[in-house]
Amino acid sequence: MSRHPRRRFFQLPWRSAERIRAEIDEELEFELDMRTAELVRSGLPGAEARARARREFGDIEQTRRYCAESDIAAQRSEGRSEWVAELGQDVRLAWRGMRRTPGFALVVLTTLALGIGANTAVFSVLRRVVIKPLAYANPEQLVRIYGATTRNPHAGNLLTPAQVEDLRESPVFAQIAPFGYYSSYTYVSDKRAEMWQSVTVSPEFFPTLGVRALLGRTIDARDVTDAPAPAVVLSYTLWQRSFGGDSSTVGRDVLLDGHARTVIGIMPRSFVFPESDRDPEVFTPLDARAAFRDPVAARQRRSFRALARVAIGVGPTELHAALEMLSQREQASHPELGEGSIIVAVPLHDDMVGGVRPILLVVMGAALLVLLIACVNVAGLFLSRAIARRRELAVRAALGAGRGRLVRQLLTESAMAGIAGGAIGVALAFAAKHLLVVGATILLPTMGDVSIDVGVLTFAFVLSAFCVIAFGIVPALVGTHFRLQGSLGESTRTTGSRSSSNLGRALVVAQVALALVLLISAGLLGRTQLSLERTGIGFDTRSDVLTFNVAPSSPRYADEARRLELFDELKEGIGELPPVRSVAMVTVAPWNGYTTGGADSLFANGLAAGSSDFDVASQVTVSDDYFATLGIPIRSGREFTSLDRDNAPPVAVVSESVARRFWPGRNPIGQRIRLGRRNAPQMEIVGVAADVRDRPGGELKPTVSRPARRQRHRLPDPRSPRHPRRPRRSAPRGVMQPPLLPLSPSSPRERG
Amino acid sequence: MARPSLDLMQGTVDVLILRTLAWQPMHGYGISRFVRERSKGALDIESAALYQALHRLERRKLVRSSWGISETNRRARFYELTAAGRKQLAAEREQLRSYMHALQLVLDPI
Repeated sequence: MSRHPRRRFFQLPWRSAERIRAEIDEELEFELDMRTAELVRSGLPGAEARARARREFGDIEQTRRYCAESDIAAQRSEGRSEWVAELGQDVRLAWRGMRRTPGFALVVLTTLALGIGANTAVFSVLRRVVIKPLAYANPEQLVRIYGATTRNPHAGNLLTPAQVEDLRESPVFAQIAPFGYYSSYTYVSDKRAEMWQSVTVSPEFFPTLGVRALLGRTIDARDVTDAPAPAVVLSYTLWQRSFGGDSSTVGRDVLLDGHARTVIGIMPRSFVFPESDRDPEVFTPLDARAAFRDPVAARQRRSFRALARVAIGVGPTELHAALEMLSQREQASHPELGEGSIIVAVPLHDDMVGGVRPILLVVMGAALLVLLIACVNVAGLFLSRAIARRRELAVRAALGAGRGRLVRQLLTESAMAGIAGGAIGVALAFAAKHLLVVGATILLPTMGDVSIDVGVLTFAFVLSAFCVIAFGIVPALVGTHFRLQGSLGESTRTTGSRSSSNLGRALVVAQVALALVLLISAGLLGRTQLSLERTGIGFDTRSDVLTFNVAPSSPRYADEARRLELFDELKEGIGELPPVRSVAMVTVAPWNGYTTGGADSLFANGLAAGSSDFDVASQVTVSDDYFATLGIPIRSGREFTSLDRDNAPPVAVVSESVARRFWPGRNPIGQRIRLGRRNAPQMEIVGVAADVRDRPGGELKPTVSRPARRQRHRLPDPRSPRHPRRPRRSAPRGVMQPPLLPLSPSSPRERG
Repeated sequence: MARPSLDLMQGTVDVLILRTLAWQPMHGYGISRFVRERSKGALDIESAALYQALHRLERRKLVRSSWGISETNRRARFYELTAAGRKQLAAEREQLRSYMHALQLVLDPI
């Protein structure tokens, strides 16, 4: 009903422009006729009277136009204001209706809010991670470059320094930026020690990414000149954490591993390190030329990571062709490298988020499915409500409300529910932002900065609008489809007509079907997760393994012997704690960059002529009891004992994939391999261990394990695994003596 | 310089129409005849101006129209004053009265 019921009686029904013009013509004709008649009465002949009436009238055509325009405009604004008035009325009605049935409102709003909230939340992560471009200059030109083999082109291995030099000469690249080693420093100040994750980067690194320092400067050529200036660049988080964001930090000397280094710059907060599972806090200069002091090693030792900016106008096919040519040329001129070594380029965005994209898309799909179910659910609720309210609607129809008007009223109700549900959903998404950031951090440590911005809000709004249409339109149409008499005559115990109960059934069917799809998908996901957990990781996930990092890098442990001694002491000390069953050390623990760190060329000895004797394998240095402690099954041979250390002949335990690769169907025990270079010392294989994946479902990579040995230069390397956002200061008391030894217990990785 | 006088004219036509309709609902021809008779032929509203004014007033919701039967048994469009029109008439009447008073003061100083 209109707010001004009186007006309805006087209001003319809506008229077409044609009708308006006809009425004006009739009105003016009446005037002329009356005037003519008057003149005739005064004695003028008919024709003359008519002409005179016309003359007296003035400009008839202009009047006609003027009146028509005025009437059409009046009708238009009338329609608008009436529409607004009716909308206000519908909103008030809907509000009263909702308040009268709080249970209904609660169910509808909760359902919609959860559906829209979940979608908004997932979308904000999806947008941040997958859709938004990387925060570098012209990120589409950036590629990550990997070494690989033809057998395993997705291996993602390191490059040799010589390969990096070859790449520099290729015209398809505008810039090549090698970066290198992940490591850690012990920073000491005021009797407090911190462990800083570090990475070495070439002077080309930051310019290639196109990022500048927030304060000071980034690493440039000056820092790797003949006498390497001891310069460091700090990340924003480190600067905030350890220096409280003090701008005088730039130019200050800091004591790292007992050596003074000068802070030359601070990176901006927005800077994201281009290797997504790492989050280094300190950047130190990488002198690529130093690697060429040994030309043979420069050709064979894989030690560099690299990213590159592709020259303008170079497409993927040209890039691929250029890299293939480069690989072939290297093969031809250096056959000793081993057959099948190739260089591959991956768009940086794919490289950083490629692994997460399918997961996020699956989650997004699931969220949309949930929303669809929510919509069907709410549609069912609205339908039953519309049927229950048939009498009310019939009364309104009897009082003159058209069907369009009733549909509009019902749609207003659902639109209000949609808007309110959307608003609550966005609020929920905001509230869950913290959870999302944590979730995103698990997926991508350096991508944790998820924000809910205009794009996300737009998405939420569009989604809400979609919901309104999805759940509102059908009940509104069906609910207002009735015969007046029948409905008015119905008792209060109204029953639905056949068409509406058919629709109700259809909604139930749709709901069950959607729920079934969701359930099956969830079941499949769960099963995949379970099977990933049960198999294929390569170590025993049922035992409670705790990992932590030790970085004995202060001057006190500069001496290798002293370091090994420390590890022995640690192992013994921790082993004596009552709940500890066994203790072991490893350079890079599984699930902490196990297979991405330290991959190097692997050469097998004494293979039949003609068969390829080269591959790339991850290498780790481990202590006694390593395999037993992690529960990595030894398939044949044995694991290391204390007898393998020091001056014993060099031995290695290889993973099953290494054994399969070089000695398929044969026992590799007693075979010999070399790591890094063809002229490296030989190692005898004493055991074959199960393959360990770096993460569930991760790439399976050949691995060579070696015992910690005193006479070698490469010691249990303090190069430490990543530690996403975890305080690094607390040292468990009573475990070990050295006061300047930062211990950082990592997550109690129970069940793995 | 034609505009001010036109505005005055228009305003005068409007107020004449409103005053006439305050008497009773009328069609356009009735209005012009009424004004002519009342002013003893001194005021004659041009029909073009009258009808434009009527439709303008209707758009401003000062009058509303409906179709009815004229005294000659013909379909005719009748106009009647709305509440807003009545208010407007009172205001304009007051304004016009003080305007005429001011004119009188200047033209016929006592």
